[in-house]
Amino acid sequence: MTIEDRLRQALAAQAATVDPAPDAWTRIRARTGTRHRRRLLVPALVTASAVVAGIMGLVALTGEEGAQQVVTEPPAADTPVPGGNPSTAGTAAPASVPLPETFLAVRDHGTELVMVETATGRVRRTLVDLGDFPENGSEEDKSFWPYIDGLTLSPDGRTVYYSTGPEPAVGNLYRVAADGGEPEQIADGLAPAISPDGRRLAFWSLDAIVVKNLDSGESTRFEPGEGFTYRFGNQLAWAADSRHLAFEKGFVEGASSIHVLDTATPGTLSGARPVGGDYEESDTSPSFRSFDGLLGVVQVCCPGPEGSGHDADTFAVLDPVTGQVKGRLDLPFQAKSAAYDRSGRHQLFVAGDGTVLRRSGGGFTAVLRLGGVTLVAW
Amino acid sequence: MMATTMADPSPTGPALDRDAVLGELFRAHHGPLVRTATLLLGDAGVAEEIVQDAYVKLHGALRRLRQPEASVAYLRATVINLARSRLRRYRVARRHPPLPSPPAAGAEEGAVLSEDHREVLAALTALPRRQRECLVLRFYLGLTEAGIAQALSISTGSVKTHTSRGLAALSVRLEDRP
Repeated sequence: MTIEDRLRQALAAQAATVDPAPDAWTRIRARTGTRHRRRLLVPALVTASAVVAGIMGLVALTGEEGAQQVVTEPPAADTPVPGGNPSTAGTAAPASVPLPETFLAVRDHGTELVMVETATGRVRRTLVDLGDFPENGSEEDKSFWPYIDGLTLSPDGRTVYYSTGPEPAVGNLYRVAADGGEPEQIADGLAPAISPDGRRLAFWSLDAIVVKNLDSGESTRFEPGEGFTYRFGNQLAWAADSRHLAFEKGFVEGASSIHVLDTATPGTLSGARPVGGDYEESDTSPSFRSFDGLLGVVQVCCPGPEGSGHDADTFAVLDPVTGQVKGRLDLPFQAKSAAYDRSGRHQLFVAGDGTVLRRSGGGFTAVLRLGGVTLVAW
Repeated sequence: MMATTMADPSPTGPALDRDAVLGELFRAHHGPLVRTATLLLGDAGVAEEIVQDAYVKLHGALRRLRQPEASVAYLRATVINLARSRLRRYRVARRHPPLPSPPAAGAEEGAVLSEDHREVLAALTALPRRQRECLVLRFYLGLTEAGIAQALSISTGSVKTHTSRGLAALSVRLEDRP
């Protein structure tokens, strides 16, 4: 019997032991009656707006100031990080940094890699197309259709590295010129991330992280080590020093935390420094803010008030040495990931419905409203 | 599969009778939603509570839903989010607790759940949250990838990934059992 059949039967057997309360409808009606409507009005409005935004696709976010809900701004640009990246700590970046002209996005069920104009959201070119997703195909066809699950752009903007499934544990790693051409497979791996100096490429290889020197071709492998339970790779992020690498570690309980690995020192992943996230709240999608060395993460799960009925996802900025939260932003949408540009002044967020939003300064701007995006990089 | 019984009553038109729509949705979906929430939480009593909460929330939101036909998806998403919220409260109450275990085998369950079922459910409980959600929605409710993506507010690509990883992890865990 297949694992799918065993699971299906076990779930059905378990579900069959559950008898819904016979008076459930009476209790629901009592709570939705006239007597209770006034009490329910405010929480219902809050809940509905948030959940509808999540389900319906962020239709309210149409302008720079749209629907922003800032709780705490991340710290000022010139806030030094104690013990942080020595090359950037305490060094203020210019107040205004030009917006990158383009960014990369993976869309259409992960099958298409495109270059998008940041200002207009127009697709400039398609770099990779893995074929039309079989919308009407069998579940097996859909499950095994290839998709892109990792993405990074070289600092000079000339080379794109990406990984493809369908089996997440043994993805294939490719590179392709940013102005087009034939992709070239360079390794087996997942979630590539190129260092800011452009000289090293990190990626997951099963449950280890490999750092490949692009000048010499030599690779260093960081094995999981004892007590490391997470077997598959998510997003990797390099610090501005091109030495420290942030990665996600998943707990069995479902949460994930961020650890920072010193790639210049031999060791294992279990020896990396824990920074953020714990059993109560998952930190995911690490991205370093280059001008001050702080580490941005998306905090996933359900930190909203009890009964709010939605994931009140949060973006937080952490000290990568102490793990201290330096700033926090409640997002008016459910975020899957966030990425700083190389200046650290602009961010892209991928919302739960696949919409891409840009944050430059205070507000959010919907860049790609059509949705369907799963990954971005710039 | 369960999905074939999940017909969407589609409340339409300006003169929406919210009570009638809610009643229709209750008849069609209450039982499956309570069972789904139980599979996610491991506690039928709490599952019943949050599903009732979801119906109350939907009642308040029906007029504001821009696509009324999305009410079933709204219900599912609300149940899942409330379940997550409840799990988080468990974790806050005790910093490193295990997730709620599969319900202990009482006399009634003992007659129904085989040893294999219990092993599979225990392995399922140990999976990361999103993987567990994807597997329950896929293999209990029988939702499509698109339906799961909508319920969880994630992409279909992510659904594939979580489902694939979840199944792989289940296989490993079940093979490791003596």
